[in-house]
Amino acid sequence: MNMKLSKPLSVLMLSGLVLTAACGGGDEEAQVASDPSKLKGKEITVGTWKGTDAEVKTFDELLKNFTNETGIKVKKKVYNDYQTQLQTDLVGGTAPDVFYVDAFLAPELSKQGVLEPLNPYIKKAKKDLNDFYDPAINAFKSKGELFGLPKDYSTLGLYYNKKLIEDAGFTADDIPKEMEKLPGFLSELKGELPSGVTPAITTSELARHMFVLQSGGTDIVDKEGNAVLSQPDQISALQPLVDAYQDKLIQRPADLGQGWAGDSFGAEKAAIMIEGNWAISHIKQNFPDVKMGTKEVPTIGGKENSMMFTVSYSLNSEAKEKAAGWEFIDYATSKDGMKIWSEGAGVLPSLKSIATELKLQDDELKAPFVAAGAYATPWQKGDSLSIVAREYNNLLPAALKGDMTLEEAMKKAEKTANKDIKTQLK
Amino acid sequence: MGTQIEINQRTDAASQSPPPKKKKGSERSRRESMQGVTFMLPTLIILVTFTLLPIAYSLFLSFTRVNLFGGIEFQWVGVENYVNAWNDDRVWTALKNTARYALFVVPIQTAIALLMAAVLNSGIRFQNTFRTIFFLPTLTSSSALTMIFMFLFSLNGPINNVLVNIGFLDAPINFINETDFALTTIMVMNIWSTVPFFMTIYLAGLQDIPASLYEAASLDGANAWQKLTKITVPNLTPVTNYVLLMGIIGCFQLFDQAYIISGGTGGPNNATLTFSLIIYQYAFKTIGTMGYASALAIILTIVIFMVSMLARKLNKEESNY
Repeated sequence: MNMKLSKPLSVLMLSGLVLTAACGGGDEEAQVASDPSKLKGKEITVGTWKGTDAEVKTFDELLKNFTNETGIKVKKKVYNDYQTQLQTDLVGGTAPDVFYVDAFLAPELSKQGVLEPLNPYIKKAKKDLNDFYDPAINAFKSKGELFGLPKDYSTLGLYYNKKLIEDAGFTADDIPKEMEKLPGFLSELKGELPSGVTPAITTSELARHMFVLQSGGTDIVDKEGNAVLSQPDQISALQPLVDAYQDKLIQRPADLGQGWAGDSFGAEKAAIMIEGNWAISHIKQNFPDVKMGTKEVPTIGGKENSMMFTVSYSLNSEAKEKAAGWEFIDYATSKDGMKIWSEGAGVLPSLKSIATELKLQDDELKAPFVAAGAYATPWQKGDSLSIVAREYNNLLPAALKGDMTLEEAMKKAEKTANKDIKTQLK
Repeated sequence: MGTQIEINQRTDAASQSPPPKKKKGSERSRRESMQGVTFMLPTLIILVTFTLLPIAYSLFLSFTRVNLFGGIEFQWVGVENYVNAWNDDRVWTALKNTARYALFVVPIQTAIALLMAAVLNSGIRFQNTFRTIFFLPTLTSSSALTMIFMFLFSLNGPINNVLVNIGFLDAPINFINETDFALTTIMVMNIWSTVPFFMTIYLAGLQDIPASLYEAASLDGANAWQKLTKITVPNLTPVTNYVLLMGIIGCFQLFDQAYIISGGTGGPNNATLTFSLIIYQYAFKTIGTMGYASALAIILTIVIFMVSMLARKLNKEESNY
């Protein structure tokens, strides 16, 4: 899952509630105000999770600017446990007009009809979608309908500890650009590292491995929504990771007694880490002495790849103030709004032009993550993904530990997930 | 919906307090019973709204396939959810984990609580200080305790350090992430945090045992162990029943520790998958499976009920009266 979710949050829940009124039945027409000034004085609620301190501060600034520009007031509703609380709110009819939607949840929510399709709004407002990164916007598409506009995105990249690599007698250029050569390099590196330092660390879950499993061309979910995890090309793509784990070349943060890879890397327990760009600010803030560098994730079979985690602003299909809500989404994903947000919060903008304007391609640490924006695989795969991910994350450790072969573990995960999908979702 | 609930509550309140059967001219007694009803009304309303209605509602949901989003649609599926649960390997694994957990935790926590209570009631020095200290874990929230335990049992944590330093272990053990240890760690944690509560209940029970029994036993030359097994334990049977009951219920409802340690997946390889965790997964992690979650909740209720009755039978409450 997105790291932002798991950060400890201490949040007051103030709920300015919007009661769902029965939505005038079959009103397909998008409520885009022909004259936005008519919306002055309206009030909307926007649901978010808290995020980092920088995000909280910047979000307030974004809201202030939006109100100045449009005259629409915004109430915040901050979620502690986003997924559970948002669902409860949606069921109870008290959900905000506009809220964050994690791409991972978008298919499940849009299937329930709680997200307003945005195509008519985009058409009426003549919003240009070409500036968005393709994977980011595709994550919120379902059968041609768009259910949200990405507010930002994160991708995976490779971090390395400059000092540990150099002390071991290597340079950053020695780190292979191909995944196939990585285990070999890691075993060379292992011999040169001080004891107690693992060559590489990564979190082992489907959210980080989906692109590896799909690198051979087989998707992890078929057209009917069934899990596909044990095809030969998937097993052979994943096997090197399991082997490297068993050779102690790659470890999980839990194996080192830490909560997440960023802390292990920051504590200099690992020389190389595959993580999302959110780790940059975490390490800078908590481990200022660690000298790190970043690279793109090594290619698999010559193809560039990474994972993308993205979050949208989506419109509640039961919202009272749809027109005003759309104005907010439009503003927050416009060049002005996006610039304020990504500059202040330090996140990657989902608009290519803003990435260029902020010169992120030249940013020493962020550049590899921005580059991945063009080709990364979004963490989203239909409405059965939560079950598939649950079983994968449950059984992969058994394969890593050697209790089962990878194929056995994946067959079991696939079977359990499919049984569950068949009885529960169909 | 709102008015519906109110009507239900009113009829319910009325039916629960039938007017006392008295002869004519009982204007006063009628007023009295009205007063009684009025006093009880707030409790009744709360009880009906927050306890009885949800139970009835989830019983209803357990026979449906329901989508709570948007326009609520119920699709009556009969016992399909229960049949699915019967055929669901994950449910059996969870039941097995939970049963194993209860089988291990309940007897140990009961025995330790009883022993500690007996010691703290024996008139040793600083008795009250010890009572206070031992009671402290109960006041801490279980999620905070889980975090503390995760630190204590972590790979670089104090427990591993001590065990390695005294030569008991060659290398530190990953108590939290190894399939073989994860559930045991939770067991230890749960015993540690619930013992004080049950100890307090035992302490209260001990006050009711007449001192004369112990005096008589002393005169007959009974030692401390004999007094414990022949006087204290039999006299505390009703309290033990209560402790067992609460212990069993608590164990079968184990959720927070398993959730925190596995991050909600029940892993590694289903080692920490508990019944409550499965219910949570279907209720909140996958959308549209509230009916199945309700069926599982009903099953859990039945299982707890049966196990508790069994425990009561085995402990023979009646034999003392």
